Amino acid sequence: MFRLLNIEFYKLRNSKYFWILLILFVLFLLSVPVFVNLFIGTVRKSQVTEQGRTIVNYVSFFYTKDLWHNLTYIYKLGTVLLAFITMISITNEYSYKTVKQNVIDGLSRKEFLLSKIYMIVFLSLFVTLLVGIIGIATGLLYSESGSFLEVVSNIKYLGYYFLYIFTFLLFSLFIGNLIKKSGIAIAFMIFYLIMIEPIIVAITTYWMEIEWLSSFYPVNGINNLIVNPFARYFFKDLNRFTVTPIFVSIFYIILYIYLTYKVLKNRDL
Amino acid sequence: MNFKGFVNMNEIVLQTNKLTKQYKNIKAVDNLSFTIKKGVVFGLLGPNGSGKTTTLGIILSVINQTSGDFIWFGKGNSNIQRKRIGAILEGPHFYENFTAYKNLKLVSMIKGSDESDIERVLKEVNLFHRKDDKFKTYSLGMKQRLAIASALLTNPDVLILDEPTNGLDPQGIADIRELIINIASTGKTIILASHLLDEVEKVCDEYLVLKEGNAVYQGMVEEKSSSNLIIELSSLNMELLESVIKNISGFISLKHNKNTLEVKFSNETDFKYIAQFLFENKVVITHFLVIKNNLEAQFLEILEKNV
Repeated sequence: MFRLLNIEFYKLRNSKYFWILLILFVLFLLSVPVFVNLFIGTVRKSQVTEQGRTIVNYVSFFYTKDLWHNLTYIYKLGTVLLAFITMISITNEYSYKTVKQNVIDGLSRKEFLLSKIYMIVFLSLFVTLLVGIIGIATGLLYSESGSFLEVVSNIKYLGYYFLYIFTFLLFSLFIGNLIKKSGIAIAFMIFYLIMIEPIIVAITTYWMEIEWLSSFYPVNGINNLIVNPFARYFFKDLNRFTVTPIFVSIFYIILYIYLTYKVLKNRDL
Repeated sequence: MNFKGFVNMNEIVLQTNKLTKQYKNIKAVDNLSFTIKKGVVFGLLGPNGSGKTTTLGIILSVINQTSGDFIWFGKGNSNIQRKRIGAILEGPHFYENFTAYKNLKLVSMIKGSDESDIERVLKEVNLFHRKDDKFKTYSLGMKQRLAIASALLTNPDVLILDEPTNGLDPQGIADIRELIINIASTGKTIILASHLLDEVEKVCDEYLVLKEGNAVYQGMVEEKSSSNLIIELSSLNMELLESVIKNISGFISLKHNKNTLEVKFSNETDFKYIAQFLFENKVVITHFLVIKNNLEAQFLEILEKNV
């Protein structure tokens, strides 16, 4: 396992795109609490209407009970940068034909795929750890109470976040391996995220009126791991978290690994 | 007991059994069976599109065969066996933005070999001074040499080279050929695919001619028994030459070229005897060239026979 992880990590750390996207991602992580704090402070100080001030006070972003949910929800937006890393790392192997050379040099197709999967596990763990550290620091610095135990009280969202990232990156690996060209794969991914699935969701939910179906789509299904937390501040009624998204994630994890292996195994390199 | 037909299994590097690759409309490789013995420089010869690269792709497990199988070193065809093989297929494939050294480092990580070997192979192909330059800055000849260096890593038992001189200038071609001959002299088995006949003739011991995925001939490069002797001639008096030459024993046919006559004799005919016969009949020869007996002629003959 470490040999394969080592090989993949050697490829990544000598690639410029990896560092650029990773640094962008880390900057994004760091900037979120800073900007949110700045924003809340500005609004509070300014002479906004009474109503506006109430809302800001009400939306206690850093309130310890909500902190992890709020933070990981916003952090989901950055996942696309990690998805690009994953997709470029696999499509480059096809455009330079290095997947072929790797196999010739003595890597089995299974080992090749495992090296990519191990890297995704490692990257997901690393990112989760980073979010954990930022969350704890944010909680201690900005939240009203500031006791460590209270800060980590809702840390289960970190687990959901890990599952979300891991599933999403396997989805990216599957798309990248299937499409082989980085430009087309990335364009397809963006198109899928903002067009294809939302349209399918709209059709099945509002037109066909099968609401439960949307919980099983590749992106929507795992999005439900961390639902929009801000709704609670306005409606006071948040859809209760169910275990369904966890099972949906696990289902897709198995499916993506299986399908990616099938495609790679049966393809002429 | 017939010892000629007895082959020690340890001496067999590769054995293929009825390899077939069917694409949608075409059979790229058709029921191909051959055996390669240890220490042999084996040429895979054939025109473009005859199935050479597909065959190499199959035995290197990057192309899935439709049917048939193959076995390396009498053991199997998994990645364990591939680690004992150094190969380049359809040109050099490396990470564009990596330096030569880093590219080879990655290959040695995959093969599980020692990093110290990198210096040796880079020196062998004369690229050590450029080891820290990025692969994309290399010329085609250097890329090809780096690919050979990569194939030489970990001192493999078998070397597979697919059109190694493709696209190179004459100096580059000469360098690569010298390299191959040097490597062959160390006793390694080399499988060389080429459409260049003189390349195969210059470096190979044994060769297999492929045509439309079929093996149409397999033999030793030195075997010339089946071929005829062809001589190209010209004289101050071409009519005289033509009338005299027909009387030489072993004469088969002649063909008029632009300024020369191309004459075919049976293979027992000695060309010294021909020269003497012409001299005795007072034919003044201005041009005398033995053009047959090389692989090209054999090759064309084989292909013609199999139309």
